[in-house]
Amino acid sequence: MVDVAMDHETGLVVLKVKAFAPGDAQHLNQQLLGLGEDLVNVLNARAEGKQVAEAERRVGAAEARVQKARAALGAYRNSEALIDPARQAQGALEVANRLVAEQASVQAQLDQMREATPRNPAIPALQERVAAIGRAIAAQNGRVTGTSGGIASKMAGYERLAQEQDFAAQNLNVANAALEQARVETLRQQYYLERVVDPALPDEPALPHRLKIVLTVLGASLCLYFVAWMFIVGILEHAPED
Amino acid sequence: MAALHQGWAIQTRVIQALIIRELTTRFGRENIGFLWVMAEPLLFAVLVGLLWRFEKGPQEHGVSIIAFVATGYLPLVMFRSTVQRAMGSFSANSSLMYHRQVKILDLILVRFFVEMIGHMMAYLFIATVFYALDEFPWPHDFGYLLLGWSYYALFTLTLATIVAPLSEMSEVLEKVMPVTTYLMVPFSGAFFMAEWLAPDVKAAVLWSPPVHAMEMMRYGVFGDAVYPHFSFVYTPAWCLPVLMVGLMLCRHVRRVMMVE
Amino acid sequence: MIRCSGLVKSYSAGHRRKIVLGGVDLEIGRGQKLGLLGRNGAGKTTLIKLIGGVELPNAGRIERKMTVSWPLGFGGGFQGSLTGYDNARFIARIYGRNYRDIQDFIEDFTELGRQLAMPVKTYSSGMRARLAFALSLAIEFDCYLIDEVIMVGDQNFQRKCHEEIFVKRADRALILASHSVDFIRQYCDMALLIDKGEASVKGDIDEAIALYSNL
Repeated sequence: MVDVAMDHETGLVVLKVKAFAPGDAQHLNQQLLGLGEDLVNVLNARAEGKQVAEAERRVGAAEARVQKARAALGAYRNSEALIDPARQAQGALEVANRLVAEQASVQAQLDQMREATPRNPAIPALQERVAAIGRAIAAQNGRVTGTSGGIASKMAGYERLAQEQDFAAQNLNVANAALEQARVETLRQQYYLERVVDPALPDEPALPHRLKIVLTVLGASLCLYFVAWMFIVGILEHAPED
Repeated sequence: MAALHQGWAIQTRVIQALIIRELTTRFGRENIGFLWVMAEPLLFAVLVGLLWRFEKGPQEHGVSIIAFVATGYLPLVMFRSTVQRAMGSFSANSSLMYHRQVKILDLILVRFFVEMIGHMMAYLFIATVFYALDEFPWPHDFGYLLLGWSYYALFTLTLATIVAPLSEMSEVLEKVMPVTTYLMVPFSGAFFMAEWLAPDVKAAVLWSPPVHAMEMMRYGVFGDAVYPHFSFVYTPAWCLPVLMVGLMLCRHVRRVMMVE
Repeated sequence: MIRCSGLVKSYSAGHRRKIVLGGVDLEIGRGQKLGLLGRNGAGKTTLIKLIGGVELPNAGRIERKMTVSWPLGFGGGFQGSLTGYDNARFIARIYGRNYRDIQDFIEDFTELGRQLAMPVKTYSSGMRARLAFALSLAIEFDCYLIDEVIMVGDQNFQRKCHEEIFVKRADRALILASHSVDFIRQYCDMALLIDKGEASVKGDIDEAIALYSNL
């Protein structure tokens, strides 16, 4: 007879085996424990397989996405011949600004010269310089905005690719965290079968308690007899007086 | 030996006759008659069991709640009604003293037997029905169940033997006894296993003899699903001296009893 | 044979104890018929109850070497809520008799008819006495304890009582409490006079009656 009882207070499971010979009982108990261990292993393997594999697959996908985004950005840079449009545009604008300032100071010098010495021979040279600076400003502005080759028109494409790369990287982080979580979870949910006590082999048969069985049967029969007696007497007495 | 045998024969004859008489006087012959003896414990156990079932769910601490309540309530109701009926049982039945073979102790024994057998019937009935409904386990060990039941019965009989003569000697007892039997409820072990309690509460309830009997019965029914705490000797060791006192009180009351 | 020695019986009345019997000695053999004489409240009924074992003496011994009936009187011995038949059945059971055997005798002797199927509490005291008497006759005792008053009843019943107890059961012992000196003189061969808790058996009926008349 096999008896399994879960102790809710200590969390132990007690497996008792009764057989007709002590050796048989021990053998049965060991076999059952072995089967139990196998079952626990199978269950753990199954749980681990499912959860962690799913997380690992997600990490793989995220990594692929990151690589793709990085490659796309590199290709764009090569094809458009630019590294960082924002910084490049900023450089061009700085140059243009400096030119504007310089133009303003040359213009001021020119204006002053015209006031004071209208016939100064340096005036045409200054005029030429203002015009040259004006052209340079236009050229710099044209680099940033303006025509189809301007930096501003390449900006949108670049930013899309850069953003994709950011997203992909974040996604990878999340996926990695999830994988870690899944591993911890699996460890936590793992079934353990730890043998607290190994099945022992009694030197002498511990059962049956013959006296106890006899007394129990006697007691139970007495109780049943009482109950039946009262039942029958009750029914007999129930009959009304003839 | 022959005298002993004859005495035993008379004793059983008298007890049987008294039980039948008790059944007819108490329950009459109308409708279900003597089956009423089962009705009260059945109703109590089943209704309280269902109440707990819906309040707390099908299981508590890993055992079926209906079975737990039934195993606790039936002995408790047996105790309560036996003690209640023991009160005033001498003066109510004094006319029986006209027949010398009826001893004063028989009056207590008879009421005790009727209650005990009635509650045993109820127990059997409830267990069978709920076993069929899968709410009651097949008892783990009938030996513990029976021994626990007999210990509980011994305690019940002991208290009945004390209460019956005392109720003849003092009016006050009759008034306070119902309250006392209610106060006894926490010490009956009906609604808990000692294991579930805080250590000092557990130590306190284990002074009460019926708790030992109840733990034994619970172990008999639920087996290793519960952690029983009981001693085989405590209940009889408590009951036997008290029973002696009760018997002496009965003897005293019989000596001064006035029969109309 | 019944032997009583030093029977003392007292009741507590309030704070005092009232001594009803203060040491009664008495012996009665098979077939002897003892009449109890005494005024009301002298203790006749108490003595009968003691001999019948209904109440226990405070001191003294009672030896019963023959079967003794319960005291047959107006009260006692029955459960009021049960029918006459049920009471008969109960008494048959505790005395170990077969109910069927005595049922006919009871129906015939008591002449209560359908009343027997009614609860005893609806009976008059005379009817109750008849039932008690019939039962004790059916069960057969060696010694009957009788309160004479139950023998009053109607002519027919008196005649039946006489027939059953003094003719058919002439060999039985009898303890009879009575106020009627004629009755005692007619049926008894010994008398016990109870007065102020004292009692003594007189073998000579006439002497006892003379003493009783002088009380």
